[in-house]
Amino acid sequence: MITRITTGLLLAFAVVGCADGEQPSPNPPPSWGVPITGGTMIVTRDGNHAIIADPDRDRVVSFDLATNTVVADIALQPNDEPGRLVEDAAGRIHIALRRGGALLTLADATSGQIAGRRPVCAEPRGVAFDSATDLVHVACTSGELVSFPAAGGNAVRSLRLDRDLRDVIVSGTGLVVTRFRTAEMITLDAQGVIVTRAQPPVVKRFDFSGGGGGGLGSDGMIDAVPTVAWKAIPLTDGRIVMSHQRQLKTVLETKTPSGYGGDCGQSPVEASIAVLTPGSLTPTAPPRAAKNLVSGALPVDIALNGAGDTIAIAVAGNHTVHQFRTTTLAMEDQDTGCGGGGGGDDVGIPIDDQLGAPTAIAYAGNKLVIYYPELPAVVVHDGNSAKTAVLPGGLGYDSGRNLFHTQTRVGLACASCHPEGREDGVVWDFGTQGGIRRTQNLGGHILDRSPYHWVGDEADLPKLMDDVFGIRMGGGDVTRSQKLSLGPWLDRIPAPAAVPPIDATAVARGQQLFESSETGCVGCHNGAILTTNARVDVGTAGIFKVPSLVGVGARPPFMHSGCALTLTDRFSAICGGGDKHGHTSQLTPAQIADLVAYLESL
Amino acid sequence: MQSVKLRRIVPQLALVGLTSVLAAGCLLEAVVPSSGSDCVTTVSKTITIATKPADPPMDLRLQNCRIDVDACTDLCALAMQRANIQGAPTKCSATFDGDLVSLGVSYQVANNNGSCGFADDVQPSNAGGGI
Repeated sequence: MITRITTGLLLAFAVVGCADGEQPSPNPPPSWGVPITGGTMIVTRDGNHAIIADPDRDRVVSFDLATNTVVADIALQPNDEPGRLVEDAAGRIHIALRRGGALLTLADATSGQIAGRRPVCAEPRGVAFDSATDLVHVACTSGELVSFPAAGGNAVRSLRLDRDLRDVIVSGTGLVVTRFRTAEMITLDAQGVIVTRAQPPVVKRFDFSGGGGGGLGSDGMIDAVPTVAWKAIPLTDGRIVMSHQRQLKTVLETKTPSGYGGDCGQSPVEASIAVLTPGSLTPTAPPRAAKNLVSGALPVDIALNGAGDTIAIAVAGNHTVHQFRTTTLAMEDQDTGCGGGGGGDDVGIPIDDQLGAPTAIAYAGNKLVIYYPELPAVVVHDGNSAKTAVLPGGLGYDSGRNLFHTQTRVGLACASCHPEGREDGVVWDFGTQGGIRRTQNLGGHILDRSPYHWVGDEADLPKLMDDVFGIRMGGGDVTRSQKLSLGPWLDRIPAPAAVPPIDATAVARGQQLFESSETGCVGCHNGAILTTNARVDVGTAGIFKVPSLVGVGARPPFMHSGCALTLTDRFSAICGGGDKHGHTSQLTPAQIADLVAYLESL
Repeated sequence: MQSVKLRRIVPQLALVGLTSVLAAGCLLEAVVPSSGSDCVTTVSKTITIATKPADPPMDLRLQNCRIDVDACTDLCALAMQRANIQGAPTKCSATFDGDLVSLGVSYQVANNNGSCGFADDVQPSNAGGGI
């Protein structure tokens, strides 16, 4: 009897345990987070606090490194997207609000008091403090470089440089500014005059894909061209070290299971490190490609320790952080062969805290502080020990966002070619499977822009994900959740901001031309996002989908093949389709300039 | 006589044992017979973990799994890793019940049969990624 009762209880327990439990949600939660930008944390000069800009939650957190506690959690305005930050001589913290268009100043590292919020530009990116002038400099994607007194007040200088500015670094009496997609470094003197421009060098790689491509030599080598400069920081000797990407100029043929990786899984995009010498330094040394120290997608952040002898790089695509001695920067670049680079660490093994993608790193002396946005958490590595602190704010999860930033077996992530959810400005050769194609921009109403790809052969995003991520990138099966989530997540990314017009009357004249029956532009480029999504032959060697023109000025080169380096080129005989693509051959150079001014304003 | 005693004691021991391991926060129990080919055996087990583990990586995956069933594979993978089980899950289910989560995992193990050569690695989707 007892046996029967006991057995019955056991069975009942098992049944209850199985049947009454709560099942995981079958549908993914609402969209969360923004594209990873990297470089959103600093440690204060005294080494006591990590200041974390949290663009996913629109807040700034001050974390006490001695007590492992949050001492300030400052809520910002929705969609402010705090990004780069810097501490000034008085201990104030200045933060670029990437989407809020402002420079936010905290009174100090701990009180949580906001001392000011100054409008800068549509998309502030880099920020630097110059102790000699007590100025805070802010670089913008729309090309402005704006200087503010650290203590408050209006801008004292605003320069107009090239678009797509990224980091700004104080260098002697001048400044160094990087550009995101081209990985270019611009050196300015104290008056704001451009002294030099430099770019990391093109290096050679063996073409394991076997497809050949631009620059393929008889030795089987191809060019690896510098692109996307995620982060640049100064070394103690004044040189700049940049964590960026390179595009391998191969032909992208789809070969399963490695897709674009070819027979050996060689990613067409590699993580790279360059050392550049600002133009004001004497003697000026040419830019150098350092040894290929890390492998993986999205080298989003780089940090230098307090002694200046160790560097860390966060690779978001494979969720690792690598440390190595700065002396290894003197080692020459070398082709690390099939499977990419890496293997250069000389300070321990790569760190994988298993907390998702690291998006920001900084040193407190020799302690390495790593920020993981999803839990969210801070992990402090000190030698062989690590302390994890879970921050308030609640879980952040979006399977589409995760997919977008996760590298596949060939070391390629969606964000490799679409950094920050937009595009890398690169022209690819898809060989017989697509020809020459410029990477398309994802920012700005992506869900209203189907079908996708230049020829409109992908009906919707789930179909595109199966094809591009699953097969071409070698990513394997895409889950239902990822298919449901990626579109809504991408749709929240805005189109690039327009450049403030230099001549508003030229813009107005250009708009008139654009909307006139004479040019016929609005026949295809109309509606809220300036496209009918139709597929049209405009004399550019094929039938292509009409692209949206919102933010068009921010994404040279233009046309599907990138044949127009400038918007003016699009109206020249170089490419653009002539009068099959609108009727513009009759326009004077001044009218073309007006039309271009209008397009730049979109 | 001994048989009668055993019939009384074994179920009680089983109940006590089950309760103990659940209280400890981690239960590893074979619930489905193994199956597979000559070269590969599919093993199915249940791994039980606490819903608030003092293990941030596990906590992250657990929270993800609760709100998105497709995220549970990563939870199962880490739970297997923590339980020193080699390989990747080929099947994964999760049931949240109070302070515990029961993970039903299946995975393949090579039989090391000399005629099989190398066993195929079982790769999860989105290979190369993590969570």
